[in-house]
Amino acid sequence: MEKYRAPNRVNLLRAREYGLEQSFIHIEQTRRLADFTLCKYRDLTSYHHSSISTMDLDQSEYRYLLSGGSNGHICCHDMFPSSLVATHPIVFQIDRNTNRDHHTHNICSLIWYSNDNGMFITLGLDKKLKIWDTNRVKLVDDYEFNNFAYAAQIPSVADTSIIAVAHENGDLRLIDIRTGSNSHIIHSHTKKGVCLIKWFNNSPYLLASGGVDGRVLFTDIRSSRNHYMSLDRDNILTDNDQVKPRATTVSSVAHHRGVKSLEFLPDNTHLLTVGADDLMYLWNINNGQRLLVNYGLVPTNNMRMLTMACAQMKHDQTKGLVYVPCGKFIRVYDIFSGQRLSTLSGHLMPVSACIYNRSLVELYSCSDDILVWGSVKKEQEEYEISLKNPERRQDTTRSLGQVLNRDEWSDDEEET
Amino acid sequence: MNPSNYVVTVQKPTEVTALATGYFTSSTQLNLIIAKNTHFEIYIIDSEGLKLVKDVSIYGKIIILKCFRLSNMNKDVLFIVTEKCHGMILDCQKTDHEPFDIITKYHGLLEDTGKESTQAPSCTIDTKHGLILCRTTEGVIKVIFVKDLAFNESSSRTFESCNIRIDEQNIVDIQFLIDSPRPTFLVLHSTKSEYYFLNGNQPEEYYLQTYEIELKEREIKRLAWTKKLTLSKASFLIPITHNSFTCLVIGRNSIEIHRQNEPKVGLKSSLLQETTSIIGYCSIDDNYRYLLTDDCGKLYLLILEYENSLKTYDMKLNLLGQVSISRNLTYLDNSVVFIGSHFGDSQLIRLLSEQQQQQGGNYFEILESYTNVGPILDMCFVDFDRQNRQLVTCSGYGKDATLRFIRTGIGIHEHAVIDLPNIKGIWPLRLNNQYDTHLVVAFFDQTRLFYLQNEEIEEVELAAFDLQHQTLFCANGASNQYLQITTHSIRLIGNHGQDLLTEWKSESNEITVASANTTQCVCACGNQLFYFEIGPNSLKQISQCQLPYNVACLDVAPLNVQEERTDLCAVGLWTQISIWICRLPTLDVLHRESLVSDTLPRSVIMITFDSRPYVFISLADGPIIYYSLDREQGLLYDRKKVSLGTKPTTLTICQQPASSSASSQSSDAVLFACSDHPSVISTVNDKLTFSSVNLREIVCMCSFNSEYYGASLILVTDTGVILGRIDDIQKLHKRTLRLGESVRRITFVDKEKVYAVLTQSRHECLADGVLPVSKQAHQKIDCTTKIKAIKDMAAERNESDNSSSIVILDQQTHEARISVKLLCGEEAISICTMNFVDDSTSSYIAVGTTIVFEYDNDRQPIGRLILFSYRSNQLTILTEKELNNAPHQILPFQGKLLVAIGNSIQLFEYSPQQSEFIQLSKPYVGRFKCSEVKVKDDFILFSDEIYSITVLRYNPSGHTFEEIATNASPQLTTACQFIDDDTFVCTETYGNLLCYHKNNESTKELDRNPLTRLGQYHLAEQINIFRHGHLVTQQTSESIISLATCSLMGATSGYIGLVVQLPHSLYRLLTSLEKSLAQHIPSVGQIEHSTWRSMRSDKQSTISSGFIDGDLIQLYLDLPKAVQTELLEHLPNDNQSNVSVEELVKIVEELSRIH
Repeated sequence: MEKYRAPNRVNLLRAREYGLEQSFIHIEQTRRLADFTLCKYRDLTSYHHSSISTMDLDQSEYRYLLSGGSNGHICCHDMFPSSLVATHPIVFQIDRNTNRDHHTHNICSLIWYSNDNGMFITLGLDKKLKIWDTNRVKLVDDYEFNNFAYAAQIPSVADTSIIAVAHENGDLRLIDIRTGSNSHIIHSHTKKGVCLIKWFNNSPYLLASGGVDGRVLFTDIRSSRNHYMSLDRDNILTDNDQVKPRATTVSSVAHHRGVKSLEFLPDNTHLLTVGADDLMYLWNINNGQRLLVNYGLVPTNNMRMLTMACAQMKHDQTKGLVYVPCGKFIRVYDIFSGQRLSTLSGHLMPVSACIYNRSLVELYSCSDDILVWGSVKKEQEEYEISLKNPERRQDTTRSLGQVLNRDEWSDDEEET
Repeated sequence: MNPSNYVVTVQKPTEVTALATGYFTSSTQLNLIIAKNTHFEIYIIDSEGLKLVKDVSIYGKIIILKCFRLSNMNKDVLFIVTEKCHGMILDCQKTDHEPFDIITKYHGLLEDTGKESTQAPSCTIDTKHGLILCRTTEGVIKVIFVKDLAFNESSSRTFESCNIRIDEQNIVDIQFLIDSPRPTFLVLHSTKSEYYFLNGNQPEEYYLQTYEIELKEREIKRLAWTKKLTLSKASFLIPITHNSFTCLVIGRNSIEIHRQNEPKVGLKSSLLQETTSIIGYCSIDDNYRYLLTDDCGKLYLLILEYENSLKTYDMKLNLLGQVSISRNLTYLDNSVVFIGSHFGDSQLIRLLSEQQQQQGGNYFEILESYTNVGPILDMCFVDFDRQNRQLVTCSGYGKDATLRFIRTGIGIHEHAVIDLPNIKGIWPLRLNNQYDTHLVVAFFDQTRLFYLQNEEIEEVELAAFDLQHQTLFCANGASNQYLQITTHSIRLIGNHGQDLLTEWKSESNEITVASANTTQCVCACGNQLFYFEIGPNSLKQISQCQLPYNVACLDVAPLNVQEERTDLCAVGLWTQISIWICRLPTLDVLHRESLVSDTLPRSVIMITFDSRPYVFISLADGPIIYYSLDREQGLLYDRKKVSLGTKPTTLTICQQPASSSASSQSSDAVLFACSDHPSVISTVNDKLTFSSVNLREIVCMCSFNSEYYGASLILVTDTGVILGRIDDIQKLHKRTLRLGESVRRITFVDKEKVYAVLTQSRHECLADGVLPVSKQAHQKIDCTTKIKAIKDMAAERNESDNSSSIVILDQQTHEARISVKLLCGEEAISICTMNFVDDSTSSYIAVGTTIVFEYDNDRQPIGRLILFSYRSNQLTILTEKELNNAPHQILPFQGKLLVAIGNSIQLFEYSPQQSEFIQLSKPYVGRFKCSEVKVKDDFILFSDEIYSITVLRYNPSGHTFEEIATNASPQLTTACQFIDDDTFVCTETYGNLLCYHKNNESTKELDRNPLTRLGQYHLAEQINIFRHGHLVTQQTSESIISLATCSLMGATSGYIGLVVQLPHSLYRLLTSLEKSLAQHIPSVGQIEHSTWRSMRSDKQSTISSGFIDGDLIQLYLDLPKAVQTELLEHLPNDNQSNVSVEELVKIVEELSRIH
């Protein structure tokens, strides 16, 4: 926690006035990141009746949160404003009552189009990938597959149109939504299947895929090879000269059991993986070496897929946090030291995904409901004190109603 | 609601951001090129110093500026990279119409999608192999190939460049080896070899790495030599020998030489203390001497000593003295060094040898200094009697901190002041001399003569002059005679003023008005008009006529300065307020022009500006009307009216004395309008400009070409005479008050006419021999406290070298009257003056302070609010109040005190009975720390540190704050301002200006109303402060622009800008004009105007809207008439308003006069 201390605000403000301090926001964010707590007075208008399997936040406004349930229902919440007390309205929803093109099975992937939030892509266990127009909430295009697909993603760089889909039989399918072609298939994983796929942050050609067999493969879609690198857990970065760097081999595995989560760090040079072997590894993506960071056991509790959230500071790379869903809890690790900083508890069911909102500096997590985490400890305390003050009751009646419904949370918090 | 903002630069950035020297303008002339944020200035270096030859604006903030020359070129070219990663290579050539024409040779976008680097971008150029290396994004090196540049082509081409991945992260500096046979470069980077991440708290470590560029493969190859450095904060890498790995590495307080296969050589010097921090360097020609500067402004000389043919090295460091705190310095020539400063004035210094050491111990002399207003931390706007608007800025840091008094207009450089009240008129005379020697001064019923010799002035009597009557006109005649026209008679005087040659007396009445030139004379007695020709010894009445009404004013000045005669006479009449043009010698009336005015004409002048004749008429209530004059027909046309002052205005032609800068128009005549708002009327680029003069009230004036003072002016005020010289015709005038310690906040106490400033002095940053202003004060007070918590905290911190004070400065003399010293470690962060409602007799000064610890997490912040009363030079501490957080802003609000404390906003009232603060109302608690607060009526606008802006309404009956609107999307606001009740502007750290609107029409009962964004605009300046007001007084009565919503903004770079709202129709017209101008006017470096102004924040880009770029609009005036017409005809969005070119020019002219 020590390294997340930040210089005094008065000093920082002064430096900024003189034009010396450019990383004010990053320092402020660092301070807040390490101090997340449940936002008790922020509600999302409830919608999902089943457990929520995945979420995605749009990357142009950092405002709209898509969430997909295991029953195939999709809903979009507006996360603005991020004030202390708020109820976030539903912008739209896709289910059997509102849209005839809805998914019928568990939603595997929800992806906002990277350039703007006028389009998003959904993938369900009904073997269908659908492309939606956000503004009209209308199906634009859909693709149907012969076998199950577990994950899909679109690169986050501008001007891309290729969706990568991970199939149960180990195939990677590339869909160019500009032309509608969906026939390009890379047979990279074994028949056991591939369950995760992620594009590199800064390249529209490179992708990483994680298989049930525990392998993590890097593929260049321009090349004819199936993959150009396979992560090997024994290929370790060390300053010990005795250990020779190993060349990756075909048989090398990243995890002994299936890969449950892949997450690129914002610095574009590292990858975090979590396997069913309850281990989390940090990799250098340029040379495929594993960094010797010990995170301890990261129990994954039979969740099929986890979405971790990484927050890294622009002004100092060494400051990076990862939020890992672990059962009902979310664990916060320092990425480069492996130190477990804190555990966020508030969910009653196992957590499946965390999303970090770097603009508002807050975290969303979902199990059977969606919770918001932010650095609001002090404000919340002040607010609670002001609530207890009877004078105030009069003018805050409207929001008070919502507040009282959530009173059980405040009791929980006091115990911990 | 439609946006309609107009943004214009009042002052361009003044801080120096980069320097380069080279033969840029020609192959023989050495230039200094100074980049100042968004523009760069080209100076020619010659024996007399620096001469500014060109100021070039760039559509972007310059971050890299380098001058280089390839082997196949005969002069240097300039390489520039902007903040938005636009790169360009510029050349300067002489063309037919422009002596220094800037031509873009190559351009290109050097942007990469990668992680932005936290280190400042670095760039190095290998001229031998024609390579430019740039490092702007992390992990990528951009290589630009300039080897085969075709510099004779006229059009600009895009760069040939490629990206090369480099493993080293956090590259601090990158340098090519000099003259290496293969392109080889050195990289200085901080430890980011990965396993250092893993075990946390590693000390800072730096590495040197060497690379070679494979030109064919376009790859880099790591070379064997690498070195681990243990310097503290290594920041500069300087290769020092040709063709071998020897380099100098400069850290914060250490200097080392590193060589391949050799042990390092470190410098041991008592000058390098733990606190020293070297921030800049430059090499002196010979490559073994370097100049270094540190963060306190100390200038060092580093000498490398070679022995045994470069085998061993030694270093020596000498302290030369103290200059402005500077990161950029460059050696010019002949021991002359330019110090480009960020915190203070830039300086031109000459290094001296040991024998020539200056008295203060400095080994240099300051030749010249160049004003830098940045960083502007706070401003206050002072408006004395409507005329003397001035802006006072808190600028600079540490020993370079200053208050700058900025006003617009022309300054008068005073030579001498003579007390002589009640003067009615004044004329110069040349007696036996080619220079003016005598002054004829008219009083109500007498005339006096003065003789000026050198600095002496004495009253004399010359026999032939009539001193018993008031002189109406006096002048030298053509052939050594003198013409004196008094109310009594016209006298022609010869023989050096001894003999009266001839005299003419009116039969009926006394003479009321008169005018003459060297050969002609007119005078009027009531409604009788007489015309005389002046002969060698005679005065011949040629004609006479009777006008219907009394004559109010007359003029027979020759239209051309070289001519002796004129054939036109302008006459202004009483009663039927009009101007008549008469033909001389017959006095036939050619033209009658009614003035459409209620007040009589006070003076009339015929004058030629840019070979176009004009007639100017001043009216008795202030305004000036001017017409174009047709010389043949005597017709007046094209009437224009400008209001200057409110009192009677007198017009005088004066030959503009050759100003200090050799401007081309120095010989032209200018028109001086004497009134309570004195102005100079002149032409710039074929446009009439009215520049106000920084003086109170001028009764009359004359030009006076003195032998001793040179060309001067004599200005008559109601109490005396000022002999002086006009400064350059310049827009802004800045006066500087050096404080000797940092100043952060200022406020003006109107009632007592004093400034109150908050200063802070750090012991190590003080200048030698300059006493900080808080120590200069006549009266010194220690501010103690009764609050236990603060007392305890302050007692813990006994840093006696770091003290904050409140200083009261006299508005006139700028002397420090009182200083109040705060506790140890206590820092004053906010100040305001106010009057409480119940007590309006004395002025109150409220100050907010806090105790600062290094880390926030250490302690609960604590602060206090101190209230002083100030009355007739007595400062009394009334009360104090403990606060549980830092009070970032204090404002008077409806007779109460509004304080932003931490993340809350609270209202306090002062109770004189109990003499303590009473907290009114419950505080409004926001989520984030409030940084800037503005109030208007009941509304409070505040910005918080990391979020955005919020509008509150204060409800006085219940003493509550109600949140009415807030902006939901986060942005890093630095300053905010009200435009009107519903419109707000704010700026954020990425240099953007945003405009928001509060939606009142919404009927929905929502908890919070979101603010709608009306527009965004990229300024590339970090704005610290907004202040309502404008520097000019509005001149034209029929103005289309209201300056009521005007706001000035001050930036860290010294930039001062102005935002004003325009009427909507005008906004639409100017938007389309802006578009077509952006297409027509070529940009340096081929950067699109829309790209330049589009908002950029955190890698997202939004096209600019809602703001008009006034700097671009004003270029319309400089275009030739044909182009102006063409642009107007082809305006996009078809021009429905049907404006003519003249009208448009008039509008733009008016806009260019608002700053």
